[in-house]
Amino acid sequence: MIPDPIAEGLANGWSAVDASGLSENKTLETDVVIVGTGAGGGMCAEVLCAAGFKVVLIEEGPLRSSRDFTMRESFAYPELYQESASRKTKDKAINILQGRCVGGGTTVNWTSSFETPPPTLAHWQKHHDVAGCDEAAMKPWFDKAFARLGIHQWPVPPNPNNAALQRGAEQLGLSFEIMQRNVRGCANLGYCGMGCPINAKQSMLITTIPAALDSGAALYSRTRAVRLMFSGDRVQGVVCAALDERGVFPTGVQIEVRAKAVVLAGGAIGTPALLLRSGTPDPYQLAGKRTFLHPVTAATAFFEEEIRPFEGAPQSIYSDEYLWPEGADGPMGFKLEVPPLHPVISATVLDFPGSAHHTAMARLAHIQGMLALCRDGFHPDSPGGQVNLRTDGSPLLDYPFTDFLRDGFRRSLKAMVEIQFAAGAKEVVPLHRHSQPYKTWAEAKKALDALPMDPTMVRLFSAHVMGGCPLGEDPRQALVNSEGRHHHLQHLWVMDGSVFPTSIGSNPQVSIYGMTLKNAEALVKSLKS
Amino acid sequence: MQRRTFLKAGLLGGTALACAGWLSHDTFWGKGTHLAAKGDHRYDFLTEADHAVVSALAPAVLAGSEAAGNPKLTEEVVHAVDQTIAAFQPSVQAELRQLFTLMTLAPTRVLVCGLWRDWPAVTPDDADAMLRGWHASRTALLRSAYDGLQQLITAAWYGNPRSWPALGYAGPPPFHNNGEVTE
Repeated sequence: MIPDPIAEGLANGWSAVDASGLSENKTLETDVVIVGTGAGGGMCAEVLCAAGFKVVLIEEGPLRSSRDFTMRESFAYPELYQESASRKTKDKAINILQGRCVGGGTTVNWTSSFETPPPTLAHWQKHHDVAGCDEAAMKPWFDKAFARLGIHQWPVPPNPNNAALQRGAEQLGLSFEIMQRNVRGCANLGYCGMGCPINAKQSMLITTIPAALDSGAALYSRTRAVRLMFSGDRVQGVVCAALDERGVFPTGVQIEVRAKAVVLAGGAIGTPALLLRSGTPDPYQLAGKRTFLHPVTAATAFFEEEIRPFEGAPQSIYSDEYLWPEGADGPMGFKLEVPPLHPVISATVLDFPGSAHHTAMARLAHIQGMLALCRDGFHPDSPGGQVNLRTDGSPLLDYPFTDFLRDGFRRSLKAMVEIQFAAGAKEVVPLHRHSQPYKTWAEAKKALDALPMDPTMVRLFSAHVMGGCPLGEDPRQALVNSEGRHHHLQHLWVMDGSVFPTSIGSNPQVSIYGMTLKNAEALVKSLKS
Repeated sequence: MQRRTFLKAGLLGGTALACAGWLSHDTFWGKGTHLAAKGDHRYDFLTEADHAVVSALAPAVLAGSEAAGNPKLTEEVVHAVDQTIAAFQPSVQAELRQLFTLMTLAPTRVLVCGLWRDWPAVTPDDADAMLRGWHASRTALLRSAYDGLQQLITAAWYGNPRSWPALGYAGPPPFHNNGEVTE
């Protein structure tokens, strides 16, 4: 039997309420209310509790733990992801994977861990008036996150899915590296995306959140932050709605949390949406604009030998060969990684009408997948998307394509297909509505030169939503200062991926941890003064 | 599907979807229709008419798989589609309600799906032709409707452990993380 720290904590009397079971409205008073329990909310909660402050955590998703994590997609997607892992941009061109559970994205991510790349920090300093976030200033905070979450280079040989990226890169003389992961005692199972069944992944769910709850913090799950309360230039708290057991419809029960300070950590779609619903001051209309996705292109390859892409650490090799082609603000760069392929995720991305679909699925154990995280937001022709509100107040991200993006998508697909053939693939299918299984690199290259890189034609995904509430010293282009404090409302702070002025250029969890650790200290100082 | 019908569908699909939004007000959850119920399966979103749509599409989407020729497995797929939709946010459920209204009302079924016969009489070949038309449509709305239906149906089947042996996937490792051994 695997020890379950959540079940133990609940048995020991944690203050944790599943709001779907509440029948009466509640009003709470606290020092700080944190909206969201992912990378930002979790880290911030631990810092505040350690400093002695009373904290209430608000989470839209459910509290689940290792005993629930049965490694089944049919459980994980509806329970642990926003919109059952089917969240899409307005034109339905990009499928967005975002966590929605206690621990947020950290409960379901693939454990890939990178400090913010130095060219990204330099770009923010130069173009976005971000202060105190250069490489040297950030290093102690990243070190702290590494130590807290056991982040280290993965010592186990890559699974065949990742080994193919390494082999292809070696054949072509491209650079590649071994991944750093936030795991302790990992059994190399490969089900990180469905919640770690053995608590090896050092997510917020099993690290900072239990620490905060042990210190007396209160957690409300199945609770949606609806709007901020503020008077004049001071924020006063947040009004929340309890959701039903499925997390779909509000039950009608309201929870009002009054606090000395409010921290927004609901992610780069949720945080701007809450600001927009609340009508908080935003004289330069920045909330929800410049939202970035690391749009992901992907290619699947069929190998004669078994790949078994559903087993083993999902991401253990990456290549930054094409990440900074002409510096930070040249043509769009991309980071190459590998996705795990379980039956549902594979079935929904393999796009062949008729029996060809099942024929491809029947070869699942021989499929190798590759993905490219496209680095958006660094060039004037990559302004990102805009979070808007539907009539029911729910967020909808509009993410228009530009020729700059199309060029990056095409180059990234070509790069992946070339590597897959170099690694020994017999057939490669770049994910595009009109692509075919190609038998040679030359044939695939010719096809990719012609295929239109338009919405709902090229298949795009995103697992990293960033921006929409950017930090910086100049209120004309930033909504919060470099420490995450709102420029126009006192006692309102933002600590999640929405503060980034561009995308990161690598998987963002450690960027959020580092920035949050730094900014939570600033919040502690402000609360003490 | 006849080519001419399909061309019309491409041109008029957008208008028809907009109309369906208005029409669906009268059919949304229980007005004029009722939720499906099959044996032990209770349905939370799909009406009897919608059930016939998904039952007709599933054998085409899953052609070649064990589910395609097996009514009992098809029913499991349709029920899993229903449960997936029931977990979607209200705004997404409303969009799907519009799509199903469009597909089940006779005039729009003929116009947009190119199907003269009602859904219970639609053959897998009819469904396959319709789906291929939507997959390659010039109308973005029909392409994304295809994607939505394809993803719902394939996720429903390949999330079912019965589909795994054919994939060379043995399922998750057996594990004591909750006091029980998983399959």
